Amino acid sequence: MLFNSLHFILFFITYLILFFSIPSKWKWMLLLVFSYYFYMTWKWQYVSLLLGLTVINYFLALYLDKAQTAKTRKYWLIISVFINVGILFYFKYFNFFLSSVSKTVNLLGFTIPTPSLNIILPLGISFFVFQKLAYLIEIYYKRFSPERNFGMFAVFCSYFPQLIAGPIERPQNLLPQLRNLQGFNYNHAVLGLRLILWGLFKKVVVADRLCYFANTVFNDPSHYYGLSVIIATIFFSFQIYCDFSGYSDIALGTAKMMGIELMKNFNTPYFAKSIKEFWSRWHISLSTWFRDYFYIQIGGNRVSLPRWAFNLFLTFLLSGIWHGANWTFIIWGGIHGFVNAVEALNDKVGWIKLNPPKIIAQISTFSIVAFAWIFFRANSLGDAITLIKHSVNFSTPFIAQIKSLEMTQLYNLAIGFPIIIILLTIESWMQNPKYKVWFEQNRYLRWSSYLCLCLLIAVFGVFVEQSDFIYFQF
Amino acid sequence: MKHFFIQLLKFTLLSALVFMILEYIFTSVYQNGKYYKTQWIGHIKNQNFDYIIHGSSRPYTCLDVASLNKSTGLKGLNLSLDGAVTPTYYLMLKMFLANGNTTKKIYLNIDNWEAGTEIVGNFTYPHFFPYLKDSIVFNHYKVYGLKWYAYRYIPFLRYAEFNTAWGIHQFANSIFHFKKPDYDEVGTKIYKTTSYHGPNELQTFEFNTKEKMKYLDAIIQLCKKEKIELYIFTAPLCILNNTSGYYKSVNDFKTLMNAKGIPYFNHGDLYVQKYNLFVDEDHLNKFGVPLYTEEFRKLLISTHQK
Repeated sequence: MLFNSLHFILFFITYLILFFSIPSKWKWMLLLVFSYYFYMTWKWQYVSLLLGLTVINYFLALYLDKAQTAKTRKYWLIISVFINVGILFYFKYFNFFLSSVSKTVNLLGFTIPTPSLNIILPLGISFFVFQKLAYLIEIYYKRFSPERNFGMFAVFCSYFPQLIAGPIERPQNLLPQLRNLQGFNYNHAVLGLRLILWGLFKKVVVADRLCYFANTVFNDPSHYYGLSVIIATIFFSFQIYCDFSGYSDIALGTAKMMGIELMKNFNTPYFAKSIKEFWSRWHISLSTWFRDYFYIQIGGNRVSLPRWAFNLFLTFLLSGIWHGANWTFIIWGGIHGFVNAVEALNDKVGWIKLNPPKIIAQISTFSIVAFAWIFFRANSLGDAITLIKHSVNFSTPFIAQIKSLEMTQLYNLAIGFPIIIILLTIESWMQNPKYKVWFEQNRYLRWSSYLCLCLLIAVFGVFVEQSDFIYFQF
Repeated sequence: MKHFFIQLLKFTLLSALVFMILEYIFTSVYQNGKYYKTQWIGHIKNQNFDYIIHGSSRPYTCLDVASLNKSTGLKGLNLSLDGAVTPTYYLMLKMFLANGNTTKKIYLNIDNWEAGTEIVGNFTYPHFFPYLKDSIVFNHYKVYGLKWYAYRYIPFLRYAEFNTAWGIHQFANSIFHFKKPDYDEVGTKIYKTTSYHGPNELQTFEFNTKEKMKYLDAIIQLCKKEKIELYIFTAPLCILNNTSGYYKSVNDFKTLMNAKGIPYFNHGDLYVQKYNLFVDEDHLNKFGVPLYTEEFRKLLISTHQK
């Protein structure tokens, strides 16, 4: 059930009508039923995995909390991490692990067949496993008490707006709100709808429109050179941003309508002036997860300079692996890790003192991020290398390359940059406090903005051959 | 909550009004365009033809109607539409006649896979959207489900959903005509490519004469009503498995059509495995078209001399 589908609209309206009609004490049960139904619409068999993980983590949290000594607590934490990461490893990385071992053995001169298990990746597994891990780690550090009501804990584990692709919530933020579900609130409803509308614009207008040309080039890298590759890379950079942040906005909006405040997952990342700043604005719930539960645990910046750089590199490498079992994701994480480490060391040691104008810093940061996206999006490592080589080859004129495209594809290409400009302009307005006040105070401006967004969605949105949200695969 | 719903209702009504205006403007402009064949046909009004060629992409691309007109002195038109199926042929014919046009004869290409089909024709139905408020078009499509009522009555929905076909680009194109259509002035498209890129394996082609042929029968009835002579033919195929089973099925279909008073001409086996004449398994290339046009000219003359 895609957020931008009629099925979800009907599902959500039904849910809201029931949610606001029943007494507060029953609301969490309704939420639980609807959340499980939501997950079942993808693949009903995997509900058992969601339920199984919920049961296991419920008891693990109780044991963790009950453990008297530090040693037993550590013991239970290790078991918890082992079980959760083990399940994630089996579903997400086992086949990759087998094929990598087999390839390594083959390289050594021994011939063994590449084994492969028929495993279907459960939707959103990386997100809900990480959320449960956050819950257990918080209990381990005694920063949070375990939820005794199993039903309530099950809601925390399956809350439908953020189940499939985050934000990866912390128990301190989500659970108290779930325990105290409120009735209808006008402001929440308006703000929620506003977020949903903005998220829809990002998904169906920007992401789904830009994906056409990006897919054309990335799926056929040997035929495209120079400007085509550069444009496709820029388009993909905005596609993935709008796809994922669009999903997050809709998730935040749907939760907001129920009176629940989820954590902000994106904060105009392409306005960042450094890679460090980019990561404080991109997929915030994941980057803070890695910061709090991995980077700080391995020493963070309270170590020697080389070790600090290594910690940073390792954290981003792991973040790459989290995204998927493929060398392309690992290299993507590695690039971010390397640049982050270099930036951090340079800030500390001051090898090169640069103070470029804001716009130059933003463009150079975007260029590095976009370069790394090539690895993220490419179908294979070989494709990524071909695209990078071709991106500096301008021997074939751009017009000659796009001449064979159909009229609709040319249209998608032509409106790509205007759409990106509209997006960035609106985002820059949204950042400006003066505009914010003006927007809130002027009813005509608000209504005309909503109407314009609806018109943009209707005229430029993609409704046929809609693509899944990219982050669903993680 | 009441205040929220009142505000929501106000906004919905305001949006509906804006989209109604937008739909009116877009429809008027689209109906003025000539890029899609449906738009082009909309401009053909109150004309009298000696014959029309009708059917799917096969007759659309395999007969040079301009050349036929020149060599025979007849006035013909190619009404065929890329991706169309029998229900679409019926709709197009009704639209053509409703525009005050007449024709003495219709040559309709029918293949085995479409003789009895009742499918909506996913490839072509969005092309009829500017005309959906016409009763002929809406009555044709409304049997395909509730979504057609939504397309008809929710303002702008159909253009929004299919804005890749009916977007701003087509809006501008309908006004300025900067992108020329790929068919000529009498409605024929001839492939410019010459190389064959279809499959090589021979395929079985057999009519199922036992199936109900709802839309083919409707076309036959419409032609009888309008006193139009209908001829059915099957254009050449490249990878035909022309065994005795094939000839039996063709003869069965011919018998069935003859019983309904409709002559049937099978040209499916004219150029079997002559890959140099085709672009794929069932579309002639620019070398095949003149050959088949000449062949068809004989049929055209003989049927007009009757």
